[in-house]
Amino acid sequence: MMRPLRAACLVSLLASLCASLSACAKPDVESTPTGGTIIIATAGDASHLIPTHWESTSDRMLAELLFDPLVEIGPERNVFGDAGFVRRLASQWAWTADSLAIRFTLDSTAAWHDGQPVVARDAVAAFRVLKGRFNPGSLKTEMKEIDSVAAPDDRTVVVHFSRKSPYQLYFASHILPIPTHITDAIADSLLERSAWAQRPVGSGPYRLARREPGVETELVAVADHYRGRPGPDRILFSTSPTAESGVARVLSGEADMWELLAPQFVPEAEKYPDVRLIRSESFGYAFAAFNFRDPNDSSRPHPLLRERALRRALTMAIDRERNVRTRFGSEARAGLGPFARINSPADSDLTHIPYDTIAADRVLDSLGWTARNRDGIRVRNGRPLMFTALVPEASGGRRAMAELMQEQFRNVGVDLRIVIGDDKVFGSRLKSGRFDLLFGGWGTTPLRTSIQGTWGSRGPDPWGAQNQAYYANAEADSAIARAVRELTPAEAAPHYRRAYQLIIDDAAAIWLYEVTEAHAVHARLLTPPWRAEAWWRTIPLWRVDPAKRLPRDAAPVTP
Amino acid sequence: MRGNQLRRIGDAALLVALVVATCFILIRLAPGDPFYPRLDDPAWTPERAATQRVAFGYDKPIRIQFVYYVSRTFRGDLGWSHSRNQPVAEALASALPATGLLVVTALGIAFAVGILVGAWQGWRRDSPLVRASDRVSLVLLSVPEFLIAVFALMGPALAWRWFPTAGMRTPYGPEGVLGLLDRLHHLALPALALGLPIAAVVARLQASAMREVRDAEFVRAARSRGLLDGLVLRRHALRNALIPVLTYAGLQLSTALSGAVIVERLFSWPGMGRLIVDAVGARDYPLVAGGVLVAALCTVVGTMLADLALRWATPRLRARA
Amino acid sequence: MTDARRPKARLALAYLALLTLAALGADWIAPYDFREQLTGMGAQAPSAAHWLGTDASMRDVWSRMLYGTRNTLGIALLAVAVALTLGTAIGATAALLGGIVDRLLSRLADAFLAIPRILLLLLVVASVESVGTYALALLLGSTGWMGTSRLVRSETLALLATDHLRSARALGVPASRLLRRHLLPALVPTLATAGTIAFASVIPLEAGLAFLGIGLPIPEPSWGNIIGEAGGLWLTRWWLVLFPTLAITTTVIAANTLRESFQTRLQHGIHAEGER
Repeated sequence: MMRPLRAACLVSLLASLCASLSACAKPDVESTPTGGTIIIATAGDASHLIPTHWESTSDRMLAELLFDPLVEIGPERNVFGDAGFVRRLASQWAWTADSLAIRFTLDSTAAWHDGQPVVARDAVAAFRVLKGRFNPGSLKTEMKEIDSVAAPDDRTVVVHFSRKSPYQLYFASHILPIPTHITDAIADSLLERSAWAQRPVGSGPYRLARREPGVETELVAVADHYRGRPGPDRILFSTSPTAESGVARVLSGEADMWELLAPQFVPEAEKYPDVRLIRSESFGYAFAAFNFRDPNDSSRPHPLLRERALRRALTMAIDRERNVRTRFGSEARAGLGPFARINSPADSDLTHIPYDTIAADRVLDSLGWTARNRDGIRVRNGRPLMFTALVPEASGGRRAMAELMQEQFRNVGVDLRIVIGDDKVFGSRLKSGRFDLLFGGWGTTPLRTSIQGTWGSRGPDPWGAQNQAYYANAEADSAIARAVRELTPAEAAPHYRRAYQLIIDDAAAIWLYEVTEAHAVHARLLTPPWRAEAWWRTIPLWRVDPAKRLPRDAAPVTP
Repeated sequence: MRGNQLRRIGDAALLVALVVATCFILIRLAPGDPFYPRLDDPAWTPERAATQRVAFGYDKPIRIQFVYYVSRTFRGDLGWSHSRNQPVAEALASALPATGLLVVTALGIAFAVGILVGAWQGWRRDSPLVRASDRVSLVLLSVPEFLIAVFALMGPALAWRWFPTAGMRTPYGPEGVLGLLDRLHHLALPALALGLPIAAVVARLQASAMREVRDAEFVRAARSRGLLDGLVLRRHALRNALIPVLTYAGLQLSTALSGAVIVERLFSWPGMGRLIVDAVGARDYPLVAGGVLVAALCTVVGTMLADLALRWATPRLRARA
Repeated sequence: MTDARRPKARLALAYLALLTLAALGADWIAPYDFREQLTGMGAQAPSAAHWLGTDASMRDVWSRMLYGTRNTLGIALLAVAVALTLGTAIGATAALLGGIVDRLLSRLADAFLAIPRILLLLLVVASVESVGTYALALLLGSTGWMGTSRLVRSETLALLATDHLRSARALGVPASRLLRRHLLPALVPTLATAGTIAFASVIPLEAGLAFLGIGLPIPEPSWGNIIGEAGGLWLTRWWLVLFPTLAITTTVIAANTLRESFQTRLQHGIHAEGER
């Protein structure tokens, strides 16, 4: 799943980190009265509000506040079986005898914002729309596992799976029903531009009150929600076009939260006693992947980088630890491999290619890159040793790493040209493979199987679906395949570990960093433990400290 | 004279057409498809992009698209913005008043302050205060505009809390008179950040024009007739010294819009500058074209208004017309 | 003649000459290479070891400022040359040919003026994937010729109306010769003014673009991108903003001082001509 690491989509809170912060300093959240207006400053606005069409984290955030799923993954982030899963629209669930279907019973009090009851057909329609789209959000893998959804009666939803798997309930948790009493009148292909998509009627704890695309979106609490009244009366998502302005709004108290504070803002933010920083480890990791195919013709292997020794020599030239320290100080750690620490803490002791410029020089010499040109760049057969790095403009961290690495490469006689692309340029070069080094970042999910798509060889879906640099290693593939088949986390772990080590040894990429995320939250908000993979899911539980209420908290809610 | 008017309108139409055509072509030359994924859209597929391209008509040659665009525009349809998922006209309708308020206030400050200070500087030639203000205006017009905005945000807004940092008003703030004050409070800083550099230019123009007028024949004559200093200044000198400033005024709308691009970003002002920059980033072709069309129309209208003001200030031109 | 020698203008010229020397001598003056990354956490405040501090990649800011002077001034001069060439060509053509050509070219200039320049640059930059040093100068120049063309057009029209040139035209002197022998020399003062105006606008513009993330290829420094790369709330890293800002502002003040002195001279020139 390619996401910028700033997309705080899948975030986790380390209880130990939290304990040291005022986040967990009471007053007790539960007993505090509800009400109040929370303003959240965000970097980007959502483009879609409906759960069948989300494309970005901002979209997903709004969709999940406006719509409820059948079930939701619990705070422990377990994806095996059904341990920890919590009820939402479905009040109970049970597997069928053949383990190929789950039968959900809908909560009889669940209702749409317009008062109509939620019925089984609503889930069937949501699945049909999701499956019918070319791009069902990032849910391609998840939806592929689901064969069909049926509604034997109004309160029963049966989800049929194409095969046995320990993750079935997790897959099903991605179905957020849509109101068929409204959408039945609209063709699926027209849903995206329908009036309902602009002003959705949903089933979630919040409903849409007002929206100005690109600027702000106001949600208000559904007072008679079937799961109980959510805490804050009103949430205003307000877009700030630059990080400077967004952060300034929180520091000045005009907004209550800035989603993800970049490391360079941390020292400034720490000076403001009214703003607390909630730390959480990231689900994301950044890397610089070597392209295994020719940038000019992706059907051919890369003329240079297909050589393992060269990739390893290039990796040896980079002092990853130092680069992370220079740029992030203690706000980030060097990357561990094709995974995020939080998903696999036991694998933090894998063997890495050491930083060793002497060895790097020796290997490059032995590969025939002995001559040097005027600028000190190695030359072989008249060709300089030059690579193009593709770096997204949106990621300051990756850009900084590229800049630091450029100089370290130069010291061993390698010329790195950096292309900074805006979203669209980055996207187009990424998809067409026009790069030697890809400065990418994956936001991982608790579902570790996603490595099939990111580092597995290109093959039948989902293998290699997001493997833009065409890395391929049959041995790693078979280890991943074993891991995916295992039915418990403990049994899968050794196979994942073996795959990770193979990928690291191959120098598929230079593993850059994992940041410790910092969320700037105003001290007047009382928040329960920061939610693992999606912080916004706890918003209904947030409270505004009665001692720190502002005029906006008392403003009447428009009907 | 009728012919002259028609010719002016023709020129203005030609200008707008040139601007829109230029931008229309430039943005379509930009690499990156409008339907390439946003960075965080993982499962993008070429098939989906292709369908959307066809649905929006972006698969056709640029010249055909342009013809379609022009004909639709004349029918009042500016197209659908895919990045905001709303009609272009709606997006423009919400952004234009915000920018209008900001730019008009900024220009108002710029010309009011600039003309007054400049006139005073020119009239009272040499005093320490004049020299000091002269230096201030020289610095103001030499600091990059975006830095003035940054300093305004970091100092008066964030560090000293004199002004709010973002938006056009306090969300869920007061209504009525207090609401109006609240809006002015939000407007003040961005408008000053945008207006002061322009005021510096205006002041310098005005001061040098004033100096010349001051020494001109008719002013000396008026003074020798024993008219009071203030009256001479008002009646004769100021109006004549306004000519170079007003000539320059027509161009300032585009300068101010250029500055608004940065000021709106820093102060989270929901206006046109921000809208167009977002649209360029998203390769939202109809939104870019629509935004530029509106900007060009505004500039044309601004130039015409400045022209009218110039005629008012120049009786000779008035007589000729 | 005397204006350029007035103390203010002389001071401005001397300052610009000093900058030029710093730019040319960066290799000898700078204590570090502009690419050299030192050990330690990035962005350290000014100290005895690093007079102007270090940037986020732990590079010496003083050294980067010196090399940045070379890039910034180089780009500005090149951009001015492009703007003057284009502006003179377009302005003189419009004035010499007149009629429909004049009208079209003038409308073209108006059209370029009507698009806010930052937006125009954003659009152009979006249409090329990455910008090199020369391309940047070319872009800045090719979007900044309109002021020059207006000045040149009106000045050329004024010159063509003089008896001297009217008779030259009547005698059938070819346009190219007219341009080379008569017009261009007479346009020099106008071009000097237009050049300083362009110079004074290009330098802040380069900085503004760097702020929006458009600029020189990494790791080339310029005054603008030292600010642009500061990142974050700038109160905490003031040295990355203050020193480049001072450099930009003083340079632009010098350019503006020169321009005003040129303009006074030009006005006197025109007056003198009128009286003749």
